[in-house]
Amino acid sequence: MQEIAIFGRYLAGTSPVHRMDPRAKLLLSLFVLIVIFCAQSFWGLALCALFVAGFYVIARISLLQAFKSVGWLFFIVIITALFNVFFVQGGTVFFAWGFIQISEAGVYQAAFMGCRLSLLLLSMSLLTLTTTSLDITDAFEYLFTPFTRFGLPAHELAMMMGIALRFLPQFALELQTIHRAQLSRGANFSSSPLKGGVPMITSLVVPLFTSAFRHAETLAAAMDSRCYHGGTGRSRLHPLRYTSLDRNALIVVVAMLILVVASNFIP
Amino acid sequence: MSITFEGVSYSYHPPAKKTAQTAAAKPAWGNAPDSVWALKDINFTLEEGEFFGIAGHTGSGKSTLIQHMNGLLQPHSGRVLVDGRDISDKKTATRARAGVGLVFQYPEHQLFAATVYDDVAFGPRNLGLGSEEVDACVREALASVALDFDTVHEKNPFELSGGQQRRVAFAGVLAMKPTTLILDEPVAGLDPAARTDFLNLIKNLHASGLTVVFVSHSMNNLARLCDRILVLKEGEQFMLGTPEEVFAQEASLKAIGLGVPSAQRMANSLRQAGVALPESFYDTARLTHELAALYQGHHGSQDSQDSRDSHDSHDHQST
Repeated sequence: MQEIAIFGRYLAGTSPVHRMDPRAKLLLSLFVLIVIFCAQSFWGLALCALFVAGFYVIARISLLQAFKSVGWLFFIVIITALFNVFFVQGGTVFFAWGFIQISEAGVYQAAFMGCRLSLLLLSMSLLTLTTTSLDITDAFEYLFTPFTRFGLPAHELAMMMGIALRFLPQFALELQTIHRAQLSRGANFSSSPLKGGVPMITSLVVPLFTSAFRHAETLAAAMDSRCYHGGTGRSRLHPLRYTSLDRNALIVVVAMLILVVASNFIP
Repeated sequence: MSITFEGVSYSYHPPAKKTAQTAAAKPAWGNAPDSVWALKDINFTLEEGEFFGIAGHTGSGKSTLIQHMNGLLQPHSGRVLVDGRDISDKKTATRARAGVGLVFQYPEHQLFAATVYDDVAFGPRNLGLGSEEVDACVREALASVALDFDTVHEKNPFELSGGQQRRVAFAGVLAMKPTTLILDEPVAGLDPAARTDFLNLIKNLHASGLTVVFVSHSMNNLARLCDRILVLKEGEQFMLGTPEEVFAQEASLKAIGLGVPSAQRMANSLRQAGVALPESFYDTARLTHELAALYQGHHGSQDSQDSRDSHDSHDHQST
C-alpha cells in the first residue's frame, strides 16, 4: 500500500490537447473509441496507433508516462489475449496438448484484440491525463443538460461525481494512515485478512467510514455557508467555449475515421 | 530501549525509478511532491528515558522519520537500530512495535470499536494476552490518561468529547505497555485548557519512566519539555542539541520558517535593546525572575523614578 496508482492521473501542461474544450475532448475521445472499433484489420489498427501516438506527441506526454498511467489495466489486455489464444480455433494448429490447442486463428485474434484494447485504454487515458477531473465533470454536466427536461438532475450528478473523484485520493491516503496506526497497535494484516477475524477489518473500515461522514458533514456545511443551492441559476467563472483548436481536432478525428474505414477495403 | 539512526535516507519515489526531475530546483521549504528524498542522511541516537523533540516545517519529514522508529517504513539507505539490532529484520520490527507506541496525528480518528473498553483492548489482544491480563492493561491505561474506568468503559467512543476521544486513543497505545512513546503533534486541534492537561499528562508519563519522542512545530511546547531537540529541514538534519543550543540560533530557525519560544524571543529582543541578560536560554519563569531581579537591583541603587526605557539603558551602562 505504498502508493495507490490511479488510472490516467492528470498531468498538468499547456499543450494544445490540454487547452481544448473539455466537452470537445470528451466527445472526440468517445468518437476515437468508435473509430478504433471500426478498424477491422491490422492496417486499420496501425493507422489508429499512428494517430493515437500523434495525439500523445501533441499532448507532450511521453509513451512511458502513457503506459505507466494505464498501469495494471494492461492485466485486462493480457487476460483477454489469453482467452482468445485458447478459445478461438481455426487454421493451422501450432500446439496441442490434451484439450489445450493453440491455432493460427487464435493467435491472430489474440494479437488483434490485444492491440485494439491497448489502443482503447491509451486513448481513454489521454483524456484523463490532459483534463482535470473538475473539467471532466463540467463537460458531463453540459452534455447532460438537455436531459434535465426529462427530470435528469444533470448538475447534481456532475457535482456528486466531482466530489467523489476529489475525495478518492484523500481516502486512499487516510486508509494508509489508519492501516499504519493499527499496525502500530499490533494488528496483523499480513496473513489472510479474514484470518484475523472481524476486528482486523473493522479496525480499518470503521475509521474510514467515520472519516467519510466527517468530511461529508464539513463539506456540506462549507457549501451551505457559501449559499450553494444546486444548479438552478448558477453562473460560471470560466464559461466553456469552443475554439479553433476544437474544430481542428474534429477535422483530424474525422480524417482518422475516413482513413480507417478506407483501410478496411485494403485486400 | 535505545533507537539509533545511522545515515538513514528515505524516498517516496525510490531512487531506482529516478528521473530527470531530480535536477529540478527545490522550493524554499517544504517538499514538492516530486522532490526525491523525504529523509536524507539522518544520524542520531534516542537514549533511554529521554524526552526528545522533533521540530520542522510542514513537509520537512517529521512524520516520515517517526515511522522508521517502529519499522512501518524501512530506510532506502542507512540503518535503524533498536537496542543494537537492525530493524529491517522482521522479528526485530515486531518486537519494536510492541515496545514503541506510536500515536499518530489526530489519533481519535482511528477509533473503531463499539465500546471504549474494546478499543483500548485491541492492542493487548493483538499481543495475544489472556482476558485477565487484557483487563488489567485496559484499567491501567485508562487510569494513566485520567479517565474513570467505571464511567467510561462501556460508552461508545464516538459519544465522547474530542479531548476524551483523544485520551481513549492514547490509552489504546499505552495499553500495549510500550517503553517508548512517540507522539505526532499530540496537542493539535485542542483548546488551550485541554492542551495544558495533555502536556501535563505527557510530562507525567515521561516522569513514570517512558522515553518520549514529541513531534511538534510549536516551539513553546518543545522548549518547556524536551531534553534534546532535532530540527529537520527538507528532510535533512538541520540542528540537534539541547533547547539552549538550538534556540540560541534564532536567525537560522527563522530562515526555515520556524520560530523560537516566545520567552526566548523576548529575551533576544531585550538583549538587542541593551538589557544585560547573562544566560543564553530563557523560559518564561527564568526570564521573569531575571527581569524582576534586574529591576529591583536597579531600584536598590538609585532613588529616581525613571521610565522603563531609561531603566534599560542604565542597566546597560552598569554592566
